Amino acid sequence: MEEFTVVGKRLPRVDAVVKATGEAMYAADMELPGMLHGKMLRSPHPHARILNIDTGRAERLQGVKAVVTAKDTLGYRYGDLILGKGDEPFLATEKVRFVGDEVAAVAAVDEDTAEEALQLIDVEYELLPAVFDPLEAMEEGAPLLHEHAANNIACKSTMRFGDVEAGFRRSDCVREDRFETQPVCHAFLEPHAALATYDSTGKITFWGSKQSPYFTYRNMPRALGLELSKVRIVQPFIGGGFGGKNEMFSLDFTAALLSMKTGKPVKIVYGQEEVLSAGRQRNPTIMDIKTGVGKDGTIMAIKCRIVANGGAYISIGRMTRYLMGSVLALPYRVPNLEYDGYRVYTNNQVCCAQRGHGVPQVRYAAESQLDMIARELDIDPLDIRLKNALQPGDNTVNGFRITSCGLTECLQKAGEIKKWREEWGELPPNKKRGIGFGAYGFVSGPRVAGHNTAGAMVKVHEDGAISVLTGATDSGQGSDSCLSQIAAEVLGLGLDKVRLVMPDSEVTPLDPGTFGSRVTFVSGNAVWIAADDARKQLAEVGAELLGAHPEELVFRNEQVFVRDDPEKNMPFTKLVKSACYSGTGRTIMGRGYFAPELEVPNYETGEGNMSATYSFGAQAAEVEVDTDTGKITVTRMKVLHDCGRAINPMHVEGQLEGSVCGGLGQALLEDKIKGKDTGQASNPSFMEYKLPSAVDMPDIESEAVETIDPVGPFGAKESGEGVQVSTVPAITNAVYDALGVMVKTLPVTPEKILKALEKENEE
Amino acid sequence: MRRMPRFEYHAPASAGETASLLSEYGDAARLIAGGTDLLISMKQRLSTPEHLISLSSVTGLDAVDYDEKTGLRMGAAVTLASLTQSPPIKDKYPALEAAARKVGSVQVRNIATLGGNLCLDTRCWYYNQSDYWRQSRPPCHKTGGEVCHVVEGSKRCFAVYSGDTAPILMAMGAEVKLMSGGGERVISLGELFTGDGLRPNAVEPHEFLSEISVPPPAAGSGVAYVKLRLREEVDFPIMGVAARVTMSDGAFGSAPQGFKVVLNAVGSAPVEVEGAGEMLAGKAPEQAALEEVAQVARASVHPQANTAGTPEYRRMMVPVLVKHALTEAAAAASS
Amino acid sequence: MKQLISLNVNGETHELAVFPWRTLQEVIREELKLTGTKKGCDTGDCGACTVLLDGRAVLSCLLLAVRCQDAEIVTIEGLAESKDRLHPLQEAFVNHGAIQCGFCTPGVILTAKALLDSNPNPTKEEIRVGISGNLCRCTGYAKIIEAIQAAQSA
Ligand SMILES: Cc1cc2nc3c(=O)[nH]c(=O)nc-3n(C[C@H](O)[C@H](O)[C@H](O)COP(=O)(O)OP(=O)(O)OC[C@H]3O[C@@H](n4cnc5c(N)ncnc54)[C@H](O)[C@@H]3O)c2cc1C
Ligand code: SF4
Ligand code: FES
Ligand code: FES
Repeated sequence: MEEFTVVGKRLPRVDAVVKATGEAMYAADMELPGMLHGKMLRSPHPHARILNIDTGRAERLQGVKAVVTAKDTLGYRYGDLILGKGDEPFLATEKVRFVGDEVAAVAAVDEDTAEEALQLIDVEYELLPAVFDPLEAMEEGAPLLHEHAANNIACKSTMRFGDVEAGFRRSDCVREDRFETQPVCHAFLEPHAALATYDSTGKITFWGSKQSPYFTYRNMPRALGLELSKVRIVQPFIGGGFGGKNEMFSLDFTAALLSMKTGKPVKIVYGQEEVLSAGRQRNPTIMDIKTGVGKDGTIMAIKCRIVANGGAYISIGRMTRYLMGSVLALPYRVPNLEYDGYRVYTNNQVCCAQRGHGVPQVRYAAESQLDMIARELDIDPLDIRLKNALQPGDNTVNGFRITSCGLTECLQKAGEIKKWREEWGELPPNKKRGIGFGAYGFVSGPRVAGHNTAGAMVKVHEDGAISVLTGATDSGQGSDSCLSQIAAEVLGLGLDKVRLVMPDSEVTPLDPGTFGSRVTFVSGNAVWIAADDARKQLAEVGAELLGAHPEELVFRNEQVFVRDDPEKNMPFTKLVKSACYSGTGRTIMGRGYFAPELEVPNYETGEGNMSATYSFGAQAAEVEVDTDTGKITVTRMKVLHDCGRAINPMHVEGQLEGSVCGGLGQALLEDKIKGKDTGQASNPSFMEYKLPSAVDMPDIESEAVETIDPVGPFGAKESGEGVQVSTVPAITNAVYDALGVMVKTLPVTPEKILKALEKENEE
Repeated sequence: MRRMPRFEYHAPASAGETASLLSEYGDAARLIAGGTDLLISMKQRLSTPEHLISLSSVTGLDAVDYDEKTGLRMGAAVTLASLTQSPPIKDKYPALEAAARKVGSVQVRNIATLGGNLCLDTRCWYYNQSDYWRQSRPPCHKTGGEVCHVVEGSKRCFAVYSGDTAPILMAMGAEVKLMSGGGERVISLGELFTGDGLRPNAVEPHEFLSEISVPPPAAGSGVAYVKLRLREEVDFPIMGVAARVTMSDGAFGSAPQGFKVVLNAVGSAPVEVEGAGEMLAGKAPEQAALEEVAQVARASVHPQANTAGTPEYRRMMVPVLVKHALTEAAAAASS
Repeated sequence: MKQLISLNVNGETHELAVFPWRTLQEVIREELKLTGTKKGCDTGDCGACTVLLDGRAVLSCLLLAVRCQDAEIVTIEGLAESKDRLHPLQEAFVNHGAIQCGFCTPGVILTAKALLDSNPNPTKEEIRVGISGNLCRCTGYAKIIEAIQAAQSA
């Protein structure tokens, strides 16, 4: 008999049908009677003092119901989840700090009127000098964005482990390189949307495109001066998040504020242009990295200085600069490690988490440099990775405890692509091919700050179906299905017996949301426990009916039977009905909660085990370069990911394939083109901001490598963020393999390729 | 992006009605064909006409006819999709079919028209933006101001023309018919383009483009359009090159008129490389001959930093694409 | 200034008074409340607003509603035969894991429908080209292509 009946199966997602029919409601699709439409007024200047805002003309426009500015707020500032020292007002107070900063908002009877009203708000600005380059921003005398941050340094980390200088002395090859990465948009297709309604009991009900509704739940009451439970956050379907829909943003707050002002429901939907030009993005970085390696390929030491151009506000920047250092050496054994990380304020769009949060940048630098070193030492790029790969039971110098780890297996399988070389045959003179590898490790369910607890309830319906209630959000990654499969397995039910319940802060238990690849691991454990609790409650009744001990009962295939005497059995539905209807009746409601036992790491010095477990993986790319035009085509990729156990292999593959879209985009296509002198992106559209289309994507072989984690639910870890961490270096290393030159700034454009080749020819 | 601005909508049923609406409303009116370009610029408030005159119900304006003697005639409102599916075009003008296929996506081509593609407005990083985006700077020449954000101190506009069907049609010697209440005039497609970034085409406010005609393909001639872009579909060209060559006995034909090389998306109009015919006629179709044209082409353009692809890269690519286009055209002529 | 138009959507004729400047997308979402047609960009770049107009895939954000008078429009809501019978493409998308966040899904499915109607046996490359006007950030397109291939042989 197979071990599991639901877990590990390639089952369709629980939400797929309503998404296929268009019935799934996203925040922008929702409407309430009497609803008003809100719009934001944004700053046209990168840095300016607000002298006066005159809303009179806008207020007098027929159809306008309210206009709000900072003076209508309590001055609450958001951002900085770690220290709680937020620096970003929902509506700009004394200053604006980038083009796109929100200044005022309007609610009107329809969108057209709201738009028109924006044109009638008169803001008087005193222009201030602005700074866009992070290195310039750190210089003495640079324009200061925030009074509290000298040299515009929002935060820094100084990590010192072992003795890097000694490590370099023992090395046979030491390289120092500077790598730079570009700003990258999350590029979810669904722009931010929020709908809020304030009722006469003083309660706000809110629907929004939030991948972590809990953040809004916690922030909104503070920002509006309400009691916590006077704010109710209800989750609609989310059109992708990738880290960009975690925080509570201006529109979320403002929709609620406008609803309080007008007494009507208010909806605000951003346009994609607003998202791309004023929304969050991935931190661009300047990375100076030095790595020392012995003749045999052993990594001796890594030293790295990273300046992250974080934009106008802190957001989750403290975490970013910590992760860039603490995950710098992952997935390798590195005895000596030194890191100086700075997150710097500039008058640019604000940066936050994005799939892989800070780690894709450092992996690009470290993995690319590793290939350059391997070449100098004449070691195969795959071998150098295998040589240094972390193994189960290892501890890293900064204190990460590696429990399960399938990196070696991932690398070995990735190595199978070497046979692709034999398929190339003779290439035309203007075509070059290459293959490359990238390896990685990532956290799964980290301890960030505050709590990381997840709660779950499993409600058993009278007909034998169940509802799984959690606060964990499916932003598209598939967690609802994953959690449902866990619950179904525990209760021996088919997945079709699970009814989908969206998070609702009034109903579903505590859960911080979707980030840090925590949902499967942390919320999954909570659901497992809750389902098991429900099972125990039913087993008590079943034991009586079947004349056995509760522990002897097995729940499987919608039957309940006695383990050693399967003849003694009954259908699950019958058991449920007996439990619900006999005697006083019972409410079968399983309850579970889980938090990994972790200390909060030291974000400044980097010490501590931030995550209960770590995922690992390897990606391999094959590219073809046209040396006439410099264009790179990624022809094939093979991606392997140690996700612990694949609760649903099809969905793990989907995550891996999606990660190639994000990673390939960052490697080759995506960039914010900066216009002169304003820091504003010149390409705030999907026409000019080039996320990959179907023709730009290679064929992908994807595979989940299972290691069965000791703590994860059914042994599962994560397959959300980690998967995208090394797509970029797999591609850049393949280009390096093809051409023998490494392009050290992203994206690797055709022009950079041609220039690098030109330079190479000159030398 | 803003919602659409207000306007009055007219859907004339005939060419005559179209002409009279145009003379009635003059500057206050704008023609809309597919609208795939115009609607975006209206949302961006680059264009806020009081009257919109739709060409989509004008009878006969989407016709495609082929005659062995007179060649191909295409109504201006034919969609790019039907152009790619039209038997005479697939059969006799495969390079035109291929060029049309390189415009936008399936969905765009299903609505976008040939006339709209030829009358496409010029593009620039500082122009094709919403009114909100543009507030951060003073207006430039093309939005009614006095400055250019691309070339500082310039008195003119450098916005780029990038319609993908124009170069190949120019290479094939196409002519266009402009209609108005006062009658019609026929000009060469080359003459349609003014080279002025502000007003890229010669269609007067009271006129509309009604027909595009292409001579029958000459014996031994081949045409090709190569388009460079970062993403292989949907994107506008970083640049493009169309070429026409005539071949005879494995060499280039002897008549210079048999050759044409047209560069796209490097200036405010498609640019014909001067003297290409003289450089190629009678030569062996080898790299050396192509190289000369390629270098002349490179020297003839001055792309600016206002669209995807840096000016430097686009200049670097001119000779490369010219050679590709000529090679492809030669191959087409020989097959 | 509103114009009376009759709009045939999913086999049903609607008599509507609309401003001429309303896009088909706005009318479908805001007047007819068919919110399966998504607004991803409003500028023709993402394909999330794709609907079928006389059987061809078009972008409803770049079409004026007044122009669609007399045409037959199909939105994602009109694709399945009934609530308990999905269209084979929908079925394939569900079963092959081609749907993640689902925001691109209605548009991709309709584009695929038009593709298969005009070319019942597209190659993988033809599928890639055919759906290149529909952006998807989640799936990497692999399972979308797989699903379309499965639907074509279904
Ligand atoms: C996602 C996307 C991708 C695109 N990619 C490309 C591309 O790769 N290559 C490319 O060339 N274009 C591209 N375009 C631009 C545009 O879609 C095409 O150029 C299209 O052919 C324009 O035709 P239309 O009928 O839609 O023009 P419209 O928008 O209707 O009109 C464009 C302009 O021409 C004028 N006009 C239209 N018809 C006439 C006429 N008969 N007489 C006089 N004036 C007229 C209009 O007044 C307007 O000023 C793209 C657009 C989008 C949205
Ligand atoms: S080239 Fe100069 S004048 Fe022309 S649109 Fe661009 S910025 Fe304006
Ligand atoms: S919303 Fe129409 S193409 Fe994006
Ligand atoms: S499934 Fe999310 S954009 Fe396609």
